[in-house]
Amino acid sequence: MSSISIVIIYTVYAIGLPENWAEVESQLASIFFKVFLFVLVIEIILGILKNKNEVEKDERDEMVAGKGYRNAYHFLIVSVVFVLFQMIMEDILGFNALVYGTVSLVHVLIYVVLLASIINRGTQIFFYRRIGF
Amino acid sequence: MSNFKIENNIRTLRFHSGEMTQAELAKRVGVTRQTINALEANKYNPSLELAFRIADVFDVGLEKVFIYVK
Repeated sequence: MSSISIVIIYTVYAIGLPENWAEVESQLASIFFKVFLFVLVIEIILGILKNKNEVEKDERDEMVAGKGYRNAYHFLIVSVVFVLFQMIMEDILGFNALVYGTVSLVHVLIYVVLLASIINRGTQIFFYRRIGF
Repeated sequence: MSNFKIENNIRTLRFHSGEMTQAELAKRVGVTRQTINALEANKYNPSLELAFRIADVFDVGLEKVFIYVK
């Protein structure tokens, strides 16, 4: 969820806000603040209620986390190599670069990192569903 | 894809150990209750170390807990 939130916030920051933003700004700020407070309170309550004697993470969790990191790492490596390679594509193959300029490159690389994070979590959810919670 | 399966008698052994709960077994072998549940449902194969720890809790040999099915 944090990755998706960061993607949304970053997209708004990078692309810009809609024209009628002023009308909904106060409402959204209020909703965002309420949701943030609600999540914070729930997290604190869960933290207090958590049984300290219970094991939180074991070998199965580490295995699932490992699969998530593996998939995210593969995606990240392929994407970064592709983004860097397409910059010199013009010289080698005669095509125009898809992403050109430092600012665009930084935007794309940030999205790639965030997508890798989403792939990591997605893979973990997939394997937890397959081998049971 | 391998055509073998590892099954286990954990549920039966728990029953014969005074209806030991999944949570209690999990605590004794140092894993989460969800892992014991996944093991009993044959959805997850444990590490050799965990397999030995489970066998040790029931005080039986490894082959009494886990069965290799071809």
